[in-house]
Amino acid sequence: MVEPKSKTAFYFTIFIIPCVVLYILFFIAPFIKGINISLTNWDGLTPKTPIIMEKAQFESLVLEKLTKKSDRDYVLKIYSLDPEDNSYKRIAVKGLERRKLERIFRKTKYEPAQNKFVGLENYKKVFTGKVDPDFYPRIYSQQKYTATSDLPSAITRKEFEKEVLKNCRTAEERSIIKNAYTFDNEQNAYVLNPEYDSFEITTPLYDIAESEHNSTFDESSLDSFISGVETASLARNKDALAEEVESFISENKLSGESASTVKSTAGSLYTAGELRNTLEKVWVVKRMNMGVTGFTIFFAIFSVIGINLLAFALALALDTGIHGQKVLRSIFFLPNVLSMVIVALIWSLLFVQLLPAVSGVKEWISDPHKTPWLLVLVSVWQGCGYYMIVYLAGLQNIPTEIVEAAKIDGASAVQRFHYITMPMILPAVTISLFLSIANALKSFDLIYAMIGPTGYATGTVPFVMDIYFDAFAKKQAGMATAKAMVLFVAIFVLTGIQLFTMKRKEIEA
Amino acid sequence: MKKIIAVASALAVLSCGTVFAQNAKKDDSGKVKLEMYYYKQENQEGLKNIVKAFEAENPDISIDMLIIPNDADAAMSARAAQGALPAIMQMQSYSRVKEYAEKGYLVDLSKEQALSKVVPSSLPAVTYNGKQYALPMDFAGIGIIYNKDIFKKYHIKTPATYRDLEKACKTLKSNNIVPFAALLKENWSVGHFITMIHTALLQEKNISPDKFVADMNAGKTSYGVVDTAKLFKIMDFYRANMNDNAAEMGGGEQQQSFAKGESAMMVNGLWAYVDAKKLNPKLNAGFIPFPVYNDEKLNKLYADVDSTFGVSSQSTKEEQAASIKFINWLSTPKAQKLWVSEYKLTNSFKGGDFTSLGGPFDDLMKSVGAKGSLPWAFSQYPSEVFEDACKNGAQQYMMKARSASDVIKTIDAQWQAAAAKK
Repeated sequence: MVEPKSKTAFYFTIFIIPCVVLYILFFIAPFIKGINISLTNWDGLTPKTPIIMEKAQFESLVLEKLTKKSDRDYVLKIYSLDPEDNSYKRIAVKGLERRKLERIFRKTKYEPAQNKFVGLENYKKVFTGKVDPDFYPRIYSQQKYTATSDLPSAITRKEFEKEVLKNCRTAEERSIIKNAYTFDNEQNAYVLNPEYDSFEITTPLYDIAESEHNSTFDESSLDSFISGVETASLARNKDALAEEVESFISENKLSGESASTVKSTAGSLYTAGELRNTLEKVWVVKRMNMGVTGFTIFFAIFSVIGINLLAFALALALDTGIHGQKVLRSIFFLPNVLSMVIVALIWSLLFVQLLPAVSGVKEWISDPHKTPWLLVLVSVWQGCGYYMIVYLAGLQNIPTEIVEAAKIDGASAVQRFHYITMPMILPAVTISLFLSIANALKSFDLIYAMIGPTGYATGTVPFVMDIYFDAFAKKQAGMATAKAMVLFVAIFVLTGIQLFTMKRKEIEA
Repeated sequence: MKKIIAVASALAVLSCGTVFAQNAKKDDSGKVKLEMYYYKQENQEGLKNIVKAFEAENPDISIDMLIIPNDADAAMSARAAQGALPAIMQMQSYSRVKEYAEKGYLVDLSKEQALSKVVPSSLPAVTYNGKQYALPMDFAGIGIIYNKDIFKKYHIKTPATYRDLEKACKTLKSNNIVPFAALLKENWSVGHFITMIHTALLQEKNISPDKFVADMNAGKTSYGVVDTAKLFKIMDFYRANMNDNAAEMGGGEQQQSFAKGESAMMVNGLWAYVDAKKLNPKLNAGFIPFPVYNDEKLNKLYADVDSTFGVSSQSTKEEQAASIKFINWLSTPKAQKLWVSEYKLTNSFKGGDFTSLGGPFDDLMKSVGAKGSLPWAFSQYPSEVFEDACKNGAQQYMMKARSASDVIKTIDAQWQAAAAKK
C-alpha cells in the first residue's frame, strides 16, 4: 500500500458507510419485516394497531395493559375518543410514529384476529403440500364433455381422432360415436348429425297442434317433460321414460298425431342419451399441469438457456467486425429497453391477431401445449440484448496476442473457439448465468401482462404471480410473504452454488 | 478540513433521503390536494370531466386521479397497509365497502346530505352495522347487450327465454356470426357470469339470495344447492357459442368484436356499451337479461348498485373535509346531470332522469320496472370467495382445467374458511 492509512479510512467512511446504512435501511430492515409478516396470518388489510375500537374494549385490552404512564399518554395522543359512537379512532400514522405505536401495542399483547402470530405454520404448509393443489405439478383428468350439457356441435379432427376414438375401449362405443358424427371437409371437423342434436329433436314438440290453445300446455310443463325424458335417457331407464311420455300425453289430452310426435321425440332423446353417456365416458384426457413450482423451474431453465445461447451467438456474430456492427448492436439491444408491459402488448397482438391470420392455427397463447414455450420465446427476445452486451465485453477482453499467436501456429477457427474463446469467456458466462437465473425465477410482469390469471388454467403461473394472487385475491398476505422468503432462499442457494462452481473454473489471461 | 466537508455532505445526502422517505403532503399554494382512486376502465374521460367541473367550482381543492383496473383490490390493499389510502375511493358495492368499513378505513357518511338524497333501496349496498360508509352511485345491470341490426337482418326474435337464445345462437352460427363476443381472459367477467346464473337458479328452489348468503355464512348450505347440472350446462353453452380463441380475448378484443359486427352479443355490464358505442357510433344495441329459464317471468336482470364512493378515514382532517365536500357536491342537481351526460351511467339519487342515455339504459330501467331485478349476490360473498374461488374457478372450468364438482368444492371450502375468520 502506497497510500497512508488515514486515506483508506477516509475512503471507507465516505463510500462504504453510507452504502451500508442505505443497505440496512432499504434491504435488511424490510427483509426482517418480511420475515415477521411471514410468521403471521395477515390478510393484507387488517392493521396491527386498530383504527377504530369501542371504548370499553379499548380501555380493557389496551390502556389497562400498559403500565408506563408515558406509553398511555402516547397512545391517547394518537387515538381520539369520538363521543358520537363511543369509540377510539386514529388517522394514519407513518414512519417512526407508527413503529413506536406498534412497539407499545406489543406490550399489551393485543393482536387482531387477522394479523396474529402463527409461527412457522405458513412454511409448514408450503413444504408439506397443504397449499393449493395448483402449487405443485400434478397430473389431472380433463373431462372434456359432461353428459348433462349439450353435445358439442363440432369436434376438431385432431381431438376426434386422437382423444375420442382412441379412448374407445369397445367396438360398440366406437360405432355409437362414429354414427353420430360426420366429417365435414370445409370445417376440417366432425359435425354432429342433426338427429342427435337435442335442439333439433325437441323442435317438433313446440309445433304440435295442442300448444296453441291447450291451457295445461305451457312452457314449464314442456320443460319438465323434456328434462324428465333426458334424465331417464341418461339413466337408461326405459320404464321412467315410458311413464313420462304417458303422463304428458294424458295430462295434455294429446291427439293421435301429436302423441306419436311426442313418442318419437322421446325415442330420439333416448338414443341421444346413449351417445352422451358414451362421449362423457370416453372423452377424458390426462393432462399434466406443471403447477407453480414446476412452471417456475421450467421457465427458468429454458429462458436462461435460450437467452444465454442467443446472446452468445449474437455477441460472436457482432464482434467479427462486419459493416454496421454498431448499429446492429443497438438494434438487438432495443427490446431490452422496452417495458415488459409494452413487450407483452406487442407479442399479444402478434399471437392473438397476426399469427392466426397467417398460419391458420387459431389458438396460440391460450393453447396449454404452446403457452409455456411462447412465454419463454418472448422472455428470450426481450432479455438477450442485455446479455449480448455482457458477452461482447467478455469477448473484447480476450487479448488479441493470444488469438494471433494461435493463428500463426495454424489453429483453425473451431480450434481457436474451443481452446481460447470458450475458457476465457467464462467470467462473462458466470455473470450472465447468475443474472439471468435470478431474473427468470423472479419473472412476473411479462407473464401477468400477457396472460393474467388464465395462467392457472394453462399451467403457466410463475412463483411471483402466485405470491401476488395469494396476497391480494386470496387475502393471505402472511402466506404470500412466507412463499416469498422461500423463493429468496431458493434463489440465494441456487445462484450461490452456480457462482461458487463457476468461479473455480475461471482463468485469467 | 476537506475530510469534514466530505463526511458532512455524505450525511446530509443520507438525511435528505430519509426525509423524502417520510413524505409530507404539504402544498405551499394553500390548496388541498386529494387523491381519487377509481377502477372503472370504461369511459374514463367522463369521470375526469366531472372531477374537472368540481375543481372549477372549488378552486381550493385539486384532485389527482389514479386508476388501476382489473386488480383494483391489490392496489387498494397495498395502499391501506402503507397507511396511504387515497382520500376518495371508488369502490365496489357491498362486501368491499363492508370489508374496509369493518377495519375502520372508511368515514361514516350516514349523516351527510348526499346520503339523504339516494333511493332507500340502494342503501343496503353501503351499510355496515347500521351506518352508511359510502355513497352509492351507479345502478348497473349485467346481461346481454345485443346488436339489434344483426338480429333484424336475420329475423331473430329478441331472446326472452333460454329456448329463444338457443335458437338465436343456431341462426347466428349458420350465418357465420359469432353469437357471443368473448371476455374469457378477464376472470371477473366469468365470475360475474357464474354468480349471475347461480343467483337466477336460486329462484326455482325458492331460496332468496339473502337467505343463501346467510346460510353459507352459517355453514348450513353448499354452493351446489342449485341445479348444478343446469348451471354448468349453461356455462358450457356460453363457451360453445363464443369465439374460438376466447381465452385470449380481453376487454379491448371483446369491444372490437362486438362493435365491428363480428359478434352479435356481449355478456357484460351495461358500462361496456359506452365504449362499444365509441368504437361504432352507429351501433344500435339493446339490453336484456340473460335468459336462464324458459319461463319469461323468471328471467330478471342482474342489476344492483355497482360502484360507490368512499372517503378514507386515514387522511388528514382537511383532506377528509374536502373529500366529503366532493361527495356532497355529487348530489347537487348540476352534478347529477353531469354524471349522466358525461360518465354515461345511471345514479342512485331520487328522481334520476336517464332518458338521455337512450337505448340499452332504457331497456335496463324498463325491465327492472316491469319484472324486478336479481340483486348482485356476489357482492355479498366474502371478498376472497368471489375474487378467487368464483372468478378463478369459473375461468378454469371454462378452460377445462377444473371439473365442475371441484369448482363447487373450492367455493364451499373457501367460504367456510372466510366465515370462520369472522
